[in-house]
Amino acid sequence: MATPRDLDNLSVFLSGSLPPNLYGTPRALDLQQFIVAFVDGLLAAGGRLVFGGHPSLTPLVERVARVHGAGRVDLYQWERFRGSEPPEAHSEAFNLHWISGDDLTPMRELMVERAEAAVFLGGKTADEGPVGGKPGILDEYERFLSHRSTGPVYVLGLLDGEAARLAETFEDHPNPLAPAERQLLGKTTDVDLAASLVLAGLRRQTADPA
Amino acid sequence: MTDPPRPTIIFLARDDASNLRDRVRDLLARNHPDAEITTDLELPDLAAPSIVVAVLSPELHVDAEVQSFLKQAIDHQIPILPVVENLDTYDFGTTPPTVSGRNTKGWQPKGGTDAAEGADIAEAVRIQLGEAPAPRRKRVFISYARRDGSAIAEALYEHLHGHYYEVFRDTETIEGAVEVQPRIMEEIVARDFVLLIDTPAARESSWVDAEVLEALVERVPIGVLAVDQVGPHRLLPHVARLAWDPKADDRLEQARHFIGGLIGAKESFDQRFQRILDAFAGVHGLDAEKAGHRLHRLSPGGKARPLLIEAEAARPTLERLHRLHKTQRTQRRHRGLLVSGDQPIPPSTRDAIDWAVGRAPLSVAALFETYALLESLMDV
Repeated sequence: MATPRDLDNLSVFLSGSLPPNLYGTPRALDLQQFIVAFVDGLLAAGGRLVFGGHPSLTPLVERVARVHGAGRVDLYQWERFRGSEPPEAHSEAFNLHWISGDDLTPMRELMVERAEAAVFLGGKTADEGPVGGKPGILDEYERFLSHRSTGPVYVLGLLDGEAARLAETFEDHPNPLAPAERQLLGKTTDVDLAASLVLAGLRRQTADPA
Repeated sequence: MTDPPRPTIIFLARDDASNLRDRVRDLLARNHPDAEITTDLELPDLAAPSIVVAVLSPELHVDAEVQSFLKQAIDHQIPILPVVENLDTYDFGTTPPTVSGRNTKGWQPKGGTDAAEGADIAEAVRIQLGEAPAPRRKRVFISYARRDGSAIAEALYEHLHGHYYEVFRDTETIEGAVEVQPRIMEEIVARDFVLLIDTPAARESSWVDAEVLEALVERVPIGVLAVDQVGPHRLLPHVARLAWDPKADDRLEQARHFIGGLIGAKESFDQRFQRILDAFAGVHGLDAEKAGHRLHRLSPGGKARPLLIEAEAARPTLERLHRLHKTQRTQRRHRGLLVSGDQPIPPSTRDAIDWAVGRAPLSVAALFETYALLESLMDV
């Protein structure tokens, strides 16, 4: 038997970006590697993906998702960038949502509302982003938990950045993983172990929704 | 934890090669004190690493029992190493089909080398028993646009080829009249590294896009050779890059070192699999042990069924499934798990696996699915 398809259309929000300290390093590919591993594992197991488009990542998500059938991924695009989206955004693999607004807040709200679990990795820290601004990862993390206080949220140390900072308080992140697994998820720099742990947590969630 | 099974060396030789036989047997005994070295014509424990070492000689070639045993060994995929005194002088005209297609090793070092006598045989045995990595050339794929990247691609091809890299470049490596694009995708899968020559034409090329995406999905490391200051390529904005300086005398050496460093930065599949297995066993208080070449056993204790795992960075094939099935059947009450490489398993392959496995207690997972699947298989 190959992987059981038991995630039962569970929608998972993926929030991640490469922090500047990894630019140009061998670890810079880890974001793409994680996307390949996690998105394929999620869709193969019957789950769904929610994510905000990015010109360098949307084509890769499309390439992974298209073999799993149409409409398994909800892709959110900010109306301000209409016309400059990559052509892959119009693939059958995606349900494409154009969201208007003065900033990313409405789009983030809609993404976290749709999702039933969330995964966070990398992202600029407060020191690396605009002065006085809240890191995007932190903003999306807080918004998700404001909708679903019991999570689950999976916070990865894989790519350093804001998510790794958040992962330092691994005991506080609600999810079905055991404390030792949460700690591992917050520290490991192994793409496959990180993806594997999140997929294990998601399966526990669908097996025991309470 | 129990000890891993002893390696088995089945040593075949006849009296007409008694001198070489004694030297090879001493070499094996010296290098593998923990191995069982036997002359019995019996198949070894298939869960243990094993090899057949056959000292070629006219008597061995016509020995019906030996030839019958060698056929059985081939059926069970046990490696067979033919050895001779001297590769340059041995008459291979009479070797039977059981050994004629195999890479024979000589006791005498190859001409022009200063290796010790027997060193090639010793190394081949160590590799087959999983005690030494198999040496091979690193394989590099050069992705470029012909319009403005051909000259650099050609220079790199020549330079890397001359420094023991196996390089793929479409115009050099694909035979005439072959459909190019499917062949290129097959080649990317088989590579250790993809180098993108980032030029203006490459950034507009849908072929280059497809090659980059294929490399990403197949988890092949990528580096960028930045030829101008305008990039980066849309799919690889922050990936490791080397600025190409056409005036630098050492530009080709720089590129080679850049490639070598990035290839070396990738951890092996075996290390990554072991990390996942150790994490799972540690969290759930299970025993994980080596059970043979690329084989691991996870034991839950009590009445639950143990799990035999074959992990290898290779696609799931019918042959691999069948091999695990045969091994698993020799182990009482075990289930089997085949962990394929770190690439996604396409849905069509998953369907084929389900069809092939039927009701057998066998499962297949990509590396990144392993932890979650172990959980359901071990019922923890």
